[in-house]
Amino acid sequence: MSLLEIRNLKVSIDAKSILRGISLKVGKGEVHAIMGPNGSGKSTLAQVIAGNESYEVEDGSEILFEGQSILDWSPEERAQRGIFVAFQYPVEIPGLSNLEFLQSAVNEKRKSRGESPIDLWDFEKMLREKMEEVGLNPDFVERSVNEGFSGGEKKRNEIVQMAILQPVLAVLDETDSGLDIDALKSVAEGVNKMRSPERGFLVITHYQRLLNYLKPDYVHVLYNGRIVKSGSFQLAIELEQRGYDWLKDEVVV
Amino acid sequence: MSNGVLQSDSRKRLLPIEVPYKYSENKSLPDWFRKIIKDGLSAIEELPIPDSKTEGWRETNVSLFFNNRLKWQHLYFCQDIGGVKIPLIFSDNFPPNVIYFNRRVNKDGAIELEKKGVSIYTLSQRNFGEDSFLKTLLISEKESRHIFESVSRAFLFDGLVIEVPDNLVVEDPINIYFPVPEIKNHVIDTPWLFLMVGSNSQVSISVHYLDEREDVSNPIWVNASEIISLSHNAHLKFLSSISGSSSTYRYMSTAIQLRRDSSVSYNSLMMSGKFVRSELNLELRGENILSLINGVSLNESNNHSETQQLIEHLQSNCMSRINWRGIGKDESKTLYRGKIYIAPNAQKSDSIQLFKGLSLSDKAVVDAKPQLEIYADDVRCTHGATVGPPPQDLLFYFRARGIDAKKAKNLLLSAFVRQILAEIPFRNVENLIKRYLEVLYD
Ligand SMILES: Nc1ncnc2c1ncn2[C@@H]1O[C@H](COP(=O)(O)OP(=O)(O)OP(=O)(O)O)[C@@H](O)[C@H]1O
Ligand SMILES: [Mg+2]
Repeated sequence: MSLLEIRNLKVSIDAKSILRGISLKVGKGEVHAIMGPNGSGKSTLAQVIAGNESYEVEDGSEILFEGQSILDWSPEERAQRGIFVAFQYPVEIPGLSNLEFLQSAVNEKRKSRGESPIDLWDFEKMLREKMEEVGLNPDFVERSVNEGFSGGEKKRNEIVQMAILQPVLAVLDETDSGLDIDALKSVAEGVNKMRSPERGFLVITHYQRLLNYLKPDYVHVLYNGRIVKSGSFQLAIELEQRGYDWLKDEVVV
Repeated sequence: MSNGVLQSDSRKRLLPIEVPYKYSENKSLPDWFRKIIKDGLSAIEELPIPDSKTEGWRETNVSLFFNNRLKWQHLYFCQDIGGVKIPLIFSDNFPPNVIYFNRRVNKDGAIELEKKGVSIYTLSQRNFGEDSFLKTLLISEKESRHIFESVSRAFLFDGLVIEVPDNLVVEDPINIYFPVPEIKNHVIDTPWLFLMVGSNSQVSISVHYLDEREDVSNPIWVNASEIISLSHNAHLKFLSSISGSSSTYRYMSTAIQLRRDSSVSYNSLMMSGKFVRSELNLELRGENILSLINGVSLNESNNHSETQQLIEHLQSNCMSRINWRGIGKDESKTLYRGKIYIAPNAQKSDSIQLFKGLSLSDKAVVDAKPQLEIYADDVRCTHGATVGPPPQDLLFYFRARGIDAKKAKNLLLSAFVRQILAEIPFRNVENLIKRYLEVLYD
């Protein structure tokens, strides 16, 4: 059984069709990369996996997580069961500290499993460590979530959240965009550290440089709402050199 | 006759004006003082009751006050008045120095303050301030603009006076309470606070208007007035907390006059009560004055909470900042109306006015109208208002981290309030507001 199985996923927004029948399997322990030009639907895929209700999933589509259909699950249920999406544009939450936000997230997850709330003291210590690991100042635990964070700091903060929430499936939507060299490295290390035979990753990116660190098992090209090509890491290198234009011809009708 | 509001002759029946009439004939009182009462009485008769067509009152339904069913008695002349209660959440965080109700002042907690030179007394204790600065303050007041102001004047039976002399620094806040006692009728109360801060002095004052009655079957109309005067280079930190019950009707008027080089930090917590309309008027009468205003209104049920502010820059080089927030749940109505006035000679005025509103239900009205009236050309003024429910994309971010919408809203609500509390220079405000915040939780 795959960790994630997407079958014939068709998604539209305001009657505009965006994903036009995507099928994809991510097994446990695997890292898949998704590449594709702007507007091809990569973030839409991430949002739909997270359960964003403003996208309309058409009948006949299916998303299975550990064999169970998740399309009827609320976003919070998906998160509590181990699905994590690092967003391309993380929102700011003025007035709410990272500590309180993440502590609530962890406790909601624990509650859903019948576990008792986490000890705040231990938790803050752990959060500070994780922040330091991705190169964030540990005093950011007290700062409002993403408020006034630079683009790169927001991305690192998504990785911190992933590290704290320990998901089974992690979808990273352009977490590498806007990162300087050091940040890219620490983000990549953050991901690599979490790789395990039980966990799968779907990494959305425009650049080969992150993939150089991650060495994905598979690379897929999303073009105009369809996966038009899948291959090995080699495909990412080819895309970086040749761009996407040559793939137009590969589009299967 | 519109929406149940009664016209001139009938208001006399509703308000216990025979008492101030008698009072105003009392020859043992100073003439100027009797004149204030008389003027108040004639204004009660002459001024129209504001209605939905009156500028500044369009959304304020005053039929709650002037209504056939309610015949008000004045607290000072009521029999059967019970005690007052100050809940621990207040006394723990703002230990009472002065408690004032029904013409009595309890200043057991102010012994140290008086030793330092702060004077605390009532108008009647000093024969109504004959020949004092207080007299100047009172008689220089503008004419009543509406019936609520005239009610305060007509029923100016007494008042609490706090005088901070020149060159005194008082570090700890002076905590003053105006509680409502248990009552057996429909009762109107007209508390007055006069606060004078001398030159080069610094003081911090918190004032708490409470209604902790056990029996709230009778309505209480608290028509409160505050006159605050700052001499040059005086610095005041002021906190006003207003709370109430399902039968508390409040009209609050606060006038603050500032002279050159002075500063005020005026902070307000409006935390429930059936009806409250708070009017704040700041007159920046000298140059180089700083005024910082922060406030939050928490509103629920079908309560009405309204803030009217007028900040007058009358001289050059003054700065004012307003940072106000309103939160409404259920079918409540929360209104903010703020105007910055810049006089022709008030060059180099610098003013920012910001309102943020959060509506927690479809039927809750949270609304703001910031306004500028500028007659000088070299000024820097901005204003802005944002109002609405918690944004969907924000809620989704919480949900995608496993926090459901209900919990997310509560966290957002606390965060929203905490942001303004962080600006308020009084420790313990967060403890105080907790009790009222929890009522708003889903
Ligand atoms: N909420 C929305 N409302 C309207 N159109 C949308 C919305 N979200 C996405 N779209 C449209 O769907 C298409 C796919 O968008 P999506 O964000 O998934 O692309 P992407 O592949 O992530 O692009 P990028 O590389 O720029 O991040 C675009 O044409 C976009 O304009
Ligand atoms: Mg995208």
